[in-house]
This record gives sequence, C-alpha cells and structure tokens, in this order.
Amino acid sequence: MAERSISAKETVRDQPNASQFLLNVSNLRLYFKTTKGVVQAVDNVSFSLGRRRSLAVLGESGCGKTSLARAILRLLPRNIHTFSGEIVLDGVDLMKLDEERFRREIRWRKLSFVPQAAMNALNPVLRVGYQVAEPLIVHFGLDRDEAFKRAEEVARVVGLPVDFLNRYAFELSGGMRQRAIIAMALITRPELIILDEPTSALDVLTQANIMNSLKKIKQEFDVTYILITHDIATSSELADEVLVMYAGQLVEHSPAARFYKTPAHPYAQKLMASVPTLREDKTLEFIPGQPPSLINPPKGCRFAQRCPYRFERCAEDPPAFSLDGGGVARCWLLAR
Amino acid sequence: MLENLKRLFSYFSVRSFLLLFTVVVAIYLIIIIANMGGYMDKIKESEIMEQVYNTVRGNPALQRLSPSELRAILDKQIEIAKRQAGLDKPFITRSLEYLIRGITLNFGRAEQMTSDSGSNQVRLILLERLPHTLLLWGTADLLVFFVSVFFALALSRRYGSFIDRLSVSLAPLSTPPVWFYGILLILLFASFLRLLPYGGFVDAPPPSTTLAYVLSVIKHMILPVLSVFIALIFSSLYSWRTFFLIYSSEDYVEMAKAKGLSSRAIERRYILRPTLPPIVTSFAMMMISLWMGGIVTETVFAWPGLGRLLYDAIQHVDTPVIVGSNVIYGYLLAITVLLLDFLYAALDPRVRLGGARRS
Repeated sequence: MAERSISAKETVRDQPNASQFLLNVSNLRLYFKTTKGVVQAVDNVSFSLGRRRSLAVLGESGCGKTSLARAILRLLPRNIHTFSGEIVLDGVDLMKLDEERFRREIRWRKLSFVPQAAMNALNPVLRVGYQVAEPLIVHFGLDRDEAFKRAEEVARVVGLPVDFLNRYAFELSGGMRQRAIIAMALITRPELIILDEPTSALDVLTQANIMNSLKKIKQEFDVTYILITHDIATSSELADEVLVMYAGQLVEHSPAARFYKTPAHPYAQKLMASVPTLREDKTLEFIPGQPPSLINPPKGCRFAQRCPYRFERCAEDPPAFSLDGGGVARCWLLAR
Repeated sequence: MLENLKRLFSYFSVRSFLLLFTVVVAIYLIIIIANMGGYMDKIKESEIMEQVYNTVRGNPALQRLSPSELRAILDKQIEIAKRQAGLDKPFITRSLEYLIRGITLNFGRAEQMTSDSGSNQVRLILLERLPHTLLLWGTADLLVFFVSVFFALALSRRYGSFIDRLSVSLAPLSTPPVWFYGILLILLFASFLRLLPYGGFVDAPPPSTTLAYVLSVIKHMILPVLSVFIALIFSSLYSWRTFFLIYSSEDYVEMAKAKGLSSRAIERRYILRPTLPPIVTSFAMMMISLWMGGIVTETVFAWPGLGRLLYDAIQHVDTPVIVGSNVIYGYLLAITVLLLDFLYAALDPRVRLGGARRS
C-alpha cells in the first residue's frame, strides 16, 4: 500500500465536507516554560470534529489531554512558551481573536466548560442559582428573574432539584454540584462543551447518573462534546469518536465503533488491554516503562521505547495514516 | 431571605450572650485586681481610723474622758465611718455590688480626678473622653482597612512586579509599635519642621467657629492617625495581598473566566467577595490590638482619650477611674468583636451556629 500522509480533516468518514465541521484544530502547539526547561505539553495536534458528535480524548496522566482542552478554552497559565496553530470554531479562527473579543464572542456563548467534579468550581459565597444564571445576565443582558427562570428549566433537564438553586455550594453533594455546573454550561446553549474528567471525583453510581444525563442532554440540546478522560469504560458510554494522546501528541483518532473493537495504534491496543471486561476472562496487561519526559522528548515515535513492535523506522516521526473504517493513527506499522 | 435573617438573628443573640458573659468575668477580674483582692479596703480602713483618731483627739470636749470611755467613743465613731464607706460588709459581697454597678456603668465618684467640666463623677469623666478615642481610632482603623483592601487587590493583580516585590520587602516596617512611629513623626513634623502640633486635641484656646474648631482637630489628628497608618499598612498589605493571591487561584475563579465574565466582575464577585471573611477576621484582630495599644499612643500624643485617662488614673491610683475605664474598654472590645462577628456571618453563608453542615 502506498504511504499516505493525510491530515485528519479529510479522513474521518461520514463528514463529507469541511464546512460541516464545528471544530478544526491544526498544528496546535502549547509549550510551557519551567525551571527545568520547555515542556511540550501539546505538540502539533490536528483534528476535526463534526457537529453533534462527541469526542473522547483518552490518555494517561500527563499526556497533554487537559492542556489540549485548556488551549482550546484559552485558560492558560502564565508560563506560556509557545502557543501556536489554528483553532477554528464554527468558522471563527480563535487564535486571531484578542482576549476581549474571545471573552465576549466565544466564552460560554459558543464554548462552555465543565471541570472536574471538585469542591471548588462553585463560588462558596454566591447562591448556586445565581451562578447558573450568571452567563445569561452577563452575555445576553437578561434581567435576574428571566435568567433565574431559564436556570430552573435547565436545572430540570440536568436533574438538579429546582430548590437547590437557592442553596450554596457547600450544601450540595458532589454529584449535585456537578449537575449545577452542567446546568451552568448548558444555559447559554453553546455549540461545544468541553468536559474535563467530569465524573472522576464521584462514586460509580453518581458517575453513571451523570453520564446518563449527559447522553440525554446531547440529544435534547444538540451539543457537541469533547470529553477529556482517562476512564476508557466511561468514555465508551458517550463517545462517537475517540482521540488518543501520548506524550503530548495525537496517536490515534478513530470512530468509536471501530476503536473499541480494534484499536489501531499499539499504544491504544495496550491501553484497551489494560481495561477489565465483563464477559470475557482476560489477563489485564500493563505497559512496561513510563512515558518520556516532555522536556526533551525522544526523536521519532514517542512510544517506540515501550512498544513491542518497534523497528528501524520508528526512529523517524510517523505521519498520520488513515485507517480502514475511518480514522487516523500515527504508527509506521500502518504504512504497509 | 427570611431564613437568612433568622440565621443571622440566632447567631447574633448567641454571640451577644457569650460576649456579655466574657465582659462580666473580665469586669469582675478588674474589680478584684484594682482593689488588690481586698487589700485596698484595709488601706481605706486604716485611713478612716487615722482620721477618726485625729478628730477625736483634737476635740477639746472629749479630752477629760477616761481612756475606756474614749475607746468606746472611738470604736463607735469608727464603726459609723466604716458603715458610711460601706466597709462593714465583707469584700466578697461588696465586690459583687461593684460588679453590678460596673456592668450598669455606675462607677460612683473618682477619688482624686475630675473631668474637664469639673465633675468628679466617673461616668462623666469617661463620657468626656470616649468620643475622642472613638474618633481617633475609628478614623485610623477605617483608613487602614480601605487603603489596604484596595492596594492589596491591586498588588495581587500585579503579582511579581517591582511594586509588588517592593511592598513585600517593606513589610518588616510594621514591626515597631505605633508609638514609636509617633515619636518619630513628632520629632520630624512638630519639632524639626514645625508644621503640625506636638499633641493634644485642639488648639489652646479652642477656636470659636465650628469650622475652625473642626480644622484644628483634624490638624491634631494627622500625626496620630499617620503613625497608626504607617505602623499597620505594610503588614496588612502583605498579608491581604497573599490572601487575594491564594483565593485567586481557586477553581471557581478560573470557572468565572471561562464563563466570560469581565475581569472587574471576576475580581469583585469571585476574588474579593470570598476573600472578605478571612480579611475581616484579620482586621478584627488588628482593631483589638489597636484598642490595647491606645494607652501608650494616646499618652505620647497627649490625646485626651480613654487610654490617656487610664494612664493618668494608674498614676494617681484612682481605683474607681481605673475600674471605669477598664469596663469601658471591655465593652468596646466586646462590641467590636460582636460587630465583626455579625459582619462575618453576613458575608459567609457557611457560618452557622450549632447546625450540622450538610455536605
């Protein structure tokens, strides 16, 4: 087979033309300055995401998946070294907007964020209802009563009892707090919601509840999700597409149906093999070694050192190869 | 809303009761200490005895009586005099009477001191001084509070900048006490530059028009307020800036940014508002230590306030005035704490009394 180096944009199937993509990310780089050197947290990541699709971003801790989310959301720390590439959301190049226009035109109007279900995402001294309604007051100039009425509607959708809106964050359980934040994210009916490990601090029952609500919301609100998670099982509930990151780079981006059955990249295969399944009896695998440092990453394929299929070509940087059944993966094995 | 008011009310009443109890205990301790545990009574008793001996001995009509008759008369006179002074009851009973009189601000007559209007009623002496103290320390406290909050917020915005590092390195300037800066400022502005008065409350003789009077008072307030300000501003700037920095790295601040709030709204609702409770607490501590330090500072500036009064009363061993000014100080402290507690409860919905925290 001929070697094909095709950008992800052209390869994901059932997306016939580019204008239908809600989000186009190309050559995104996000490097941080630290005392030890420059950390390449997101290195040359490109992908596209269609409307009403949900994308799960998988990877282990420190692989850059949260940095990818932060880069799209433009919630960046002070120690930025490089922040370059192109992020086109709904036809608007986000990188060309200054902070003020980004705040007024993008934040929460088109792009919402649900952080980890931590204690702290809600202001302790403001009522939950006000915080849920606040984006409408700020961005759309609604008066308080109207905004609160809308907040009640959204609260019903996410399964948050309406009288909880009158409470403070410390009076809510972890799951209810997370529902409040999801309500907040939905209230302006944004195009894209980025969920950063939305259920990882919750117990399994609450996790399942929240995931079900998210599924229901997706149908009712026509939103697009990017779900950042390390929990492969949870991601399979919601994802239409899966993007796997390793050491700051994209290694595979595939339709979920194909990915969960036959992941293409060796790292993705190993990742899937480490997840217990219910119906078959299998020995769980782990990947020996650890991810490379992002300060001076090795040349060529970053997974090569831990990869059982390593061969000479792995010393070169693999391009994105398109896959049968849709998707791309960056591995020289797929060149044959 | 109603629930909130109920919460505030119950909080307020429980706190007031506890503080009242503290004040009562404190006043009783002051009474025992100021009377030297009853030793003051013995001193008074011997004073009375001496007085009676002198009058009886000096009375020519009684000269020819036999010693036993004289003794009987002396004993009777002494008993009458003691009863007049209330010394016939044991100290414990009398200390409780003092306590009730103290709590109700009924201090009786001063032994030696008088008010400027000439009265020797302790209550009048105290009431004459109280407004001066409130004026001076109230002004200084509020000035320090608002200036610190404003500039601490500004510094936290410019974390790591030159001005931020400069103000942090100036924090040790708050180590010397207020009166030290007082003496320094008096030397500089009164003695050397001769711009401002050495001390006192108003020019002598006091100006006749109200405007001139007010201006003169302000002129006399500049140095004491300035020395309080210099002594406190650097440490409060440093610690409050740190509070703001800690609170601005909270997740909800980032969330507010993601929501697209303007940086002013973020600063007001998501940084300043949640940081106010700890700031109010540290302000309360500051105010309480200021009330205490007032004695020396008011003396340095010859400011006719309660602190100066207490200093003079101790010099004259005037027990009723000592007890009286301490009681007033006790009440001032309690009211300060109560007000700030109340403010704290109003600012932070998490403050509740006794109620189990739902979480």
